[in-house]
Amino acid sequence: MFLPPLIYYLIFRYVPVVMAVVISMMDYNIYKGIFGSEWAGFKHFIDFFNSVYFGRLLRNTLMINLLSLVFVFPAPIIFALLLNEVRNSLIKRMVQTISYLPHFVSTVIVASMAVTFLSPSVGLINNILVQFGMERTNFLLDPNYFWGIFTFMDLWKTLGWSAILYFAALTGINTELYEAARVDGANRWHQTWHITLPGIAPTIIILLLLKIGHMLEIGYELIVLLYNPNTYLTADVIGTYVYRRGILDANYSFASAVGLFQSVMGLLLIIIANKLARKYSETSLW
Amino acid sequence: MKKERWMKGITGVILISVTLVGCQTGGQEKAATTPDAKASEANKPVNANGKILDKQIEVSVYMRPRPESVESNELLWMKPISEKTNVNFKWLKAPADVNDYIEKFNLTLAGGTLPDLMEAPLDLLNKGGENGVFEPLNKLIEQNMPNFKKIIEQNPAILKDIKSDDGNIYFFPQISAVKTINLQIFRQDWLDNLGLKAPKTTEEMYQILKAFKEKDPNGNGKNDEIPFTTRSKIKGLLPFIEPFGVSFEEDFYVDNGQVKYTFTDAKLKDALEYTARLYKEGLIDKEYITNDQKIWESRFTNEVSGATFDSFPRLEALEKLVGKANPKVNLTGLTPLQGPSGIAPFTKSQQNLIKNGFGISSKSKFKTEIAKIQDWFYSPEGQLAMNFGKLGETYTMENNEPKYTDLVMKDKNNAPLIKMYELGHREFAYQWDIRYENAMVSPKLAQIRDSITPFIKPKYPVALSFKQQERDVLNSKFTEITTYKDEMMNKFIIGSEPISKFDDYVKQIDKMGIDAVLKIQQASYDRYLKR
Repeated sequence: MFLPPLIYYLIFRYVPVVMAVVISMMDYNIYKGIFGSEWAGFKHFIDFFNSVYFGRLLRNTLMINLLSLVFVFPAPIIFALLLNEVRNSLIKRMVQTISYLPHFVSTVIVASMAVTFLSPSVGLINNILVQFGMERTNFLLDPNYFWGIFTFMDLWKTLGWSAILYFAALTGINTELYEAARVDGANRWHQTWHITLPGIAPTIIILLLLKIGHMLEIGYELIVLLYNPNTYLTADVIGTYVYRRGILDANYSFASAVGLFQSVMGLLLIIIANKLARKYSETSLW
Repeated sequence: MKKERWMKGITGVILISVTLVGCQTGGQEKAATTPDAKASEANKPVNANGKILDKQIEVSVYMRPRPESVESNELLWMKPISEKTNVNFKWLKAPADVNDYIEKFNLTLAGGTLPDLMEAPLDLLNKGGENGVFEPLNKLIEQNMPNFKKIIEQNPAILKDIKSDDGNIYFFPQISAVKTINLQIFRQDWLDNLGLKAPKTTEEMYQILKAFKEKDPNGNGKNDEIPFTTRSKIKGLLPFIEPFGVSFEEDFYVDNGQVKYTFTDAKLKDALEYTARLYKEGLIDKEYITNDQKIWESRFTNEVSGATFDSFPRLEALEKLVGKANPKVNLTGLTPLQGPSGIAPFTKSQQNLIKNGFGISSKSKFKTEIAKIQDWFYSPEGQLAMNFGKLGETYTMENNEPKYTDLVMKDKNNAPLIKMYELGHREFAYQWDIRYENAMVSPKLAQIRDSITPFIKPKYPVALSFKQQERDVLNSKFTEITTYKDEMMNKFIIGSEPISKFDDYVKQIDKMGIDAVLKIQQASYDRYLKR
């Protein structure tokens, strides 16, 4: 039964991609549809590159992703490794469950929590700062804090959930290896370094590769909820800009053009990263 | 073997398509039975059985939801309406947030299967109408809508606002009763506590806010007051801007027939300087940019704030809210302030004559029927039902004047308007009447509201429409300008950018192409005048 999946992929995966590519080169008019709209060539791409904000958007998008790569990506690995050392299975399961609860909290709630905690007049963080004799700061109005706040919220929300994959990989490691190592006199630290880490390395590399493919994208819902004109300087990313200009103003051609640009860049990045991975390790996507 | 697999797959596809087609024809058959041929009866507004339509029909509606209640034909308010019209309204799930709402509206249009009746901002309805998505209503109005025809014949201003540039009408308007919308709301009891009079000028305003901050009007012995707060971000600061002769309410204004851009006006510089001073001295809520409704309300319930700028019915809602903890609370509404430049006090914050509109899908099977029920909404009887709900339960008649019952007026928790929504009041397209609104608000509020009316200055028309090439320019240039403008306005106010940089900011906007935008606005405005 190869046909149904084929049809599925044709209709729901390939046709939309082709449509998006076509729309990005048209002055797409939602009322006239694809066949009635006029061709525009690369107008929307050029328009995007010429935007006053192009540089800023690119920088913000890349920086937030880079921060996420440095802080958010390794965190679940470390978390999984640490939890793996806990021998009491009840505590282990409890901690694990609690850790992935934030994943189920809606983005809107996460954002309003951030607003509440960071509020200068009643927020917990500011109340603590005042106890230490520091001044109240309006964190959400200062562009300098935005990257930090976003990265922290992202980390808090995804930590436990992302760790699940690593837990799965950990259970796949042959326990005999540990026994053999212990016989050879390896301590806990040696075991982690020489058995556990190499054991989950393929998972880490695959996830890293996939992540690099999305370097130009960010789940922008949280940003839309957290930013304000005052923090556009650091908070406005490609996704939010396209949301304001493409979706709200129903300029779908522009939105598609930017989407296509993101995908092409993502593809390039993932090809390069995959090449590097193949060169330096045994794991790669293809 | 291989052939068999192919057969299975193809059968599957055929099965699915048959089911889909089946669904479609099902709908059409049902539609075909309704009386299109009976157009001769069109001019009879009501049938023998007292209903607008002979047969019950189902009309799907896409409109803004109310967080206070779910849409249902069974709610106290809706029931008499759906019974009278013989329509079973099928409510489609729509997002409450404005941006989400517009996004879904656009996507629904792109999707192709349209609900019969759609609510949207006027510009979107005209755009859709000109592209053939919404039915031109001129003929339907002529043939089926005596009540509505009378309204537009008597009010040419309404006709001008609802006509598209191509001469057609594409939507039914929701016509407002009053112009007043936002005003400055003040704690009168705080003013009394400090022995102060309501401010009339910007200077007095400054002094009073300062007194609010320093003289502990809430009497808790702590210096915890945030004199002025808002929940509507920068627009909430409007009362400090308008006294200088320029208004955040509109991106453009007309000066001697010339369209100009508000945010590069030289008068704005003084306005921002004044506002920045208030902000710097802590007289305006430092968190005005991030405040939401919840925090805004808590500022009042905790009695740290004594002034805001908000829609006039909120005055009573706030009073009720604060009154739970402090029954002595007394709120008042202020008229616009006099600025130092000698410009007469005014406001441009106002309800548009046409608030929203409803378009009929050009593919709808019930165009005539919808026109008929819609006409009933505009009839005196329909207006009564839309505004007042069910006789005997939500309103009574006294000396021929409708009056809300205690069910609406004396609710413990809700202001009357909110209670009405809870009972199922929906803002369809109909005409509001000042008589109705007066019945809803208390005499005190009505008086405050009426005191604002003389200060209202006409606003830049919202009913402009644009051609595709014009939209392209607006979309690329104006979105960028707006992004930059939003960023800079807040920076000037909170002081992260000194006001001395204002001229550089104006230059930057010029560089971003405001001229091209103004040219388009001018052309569209001229077309509007000629309608």
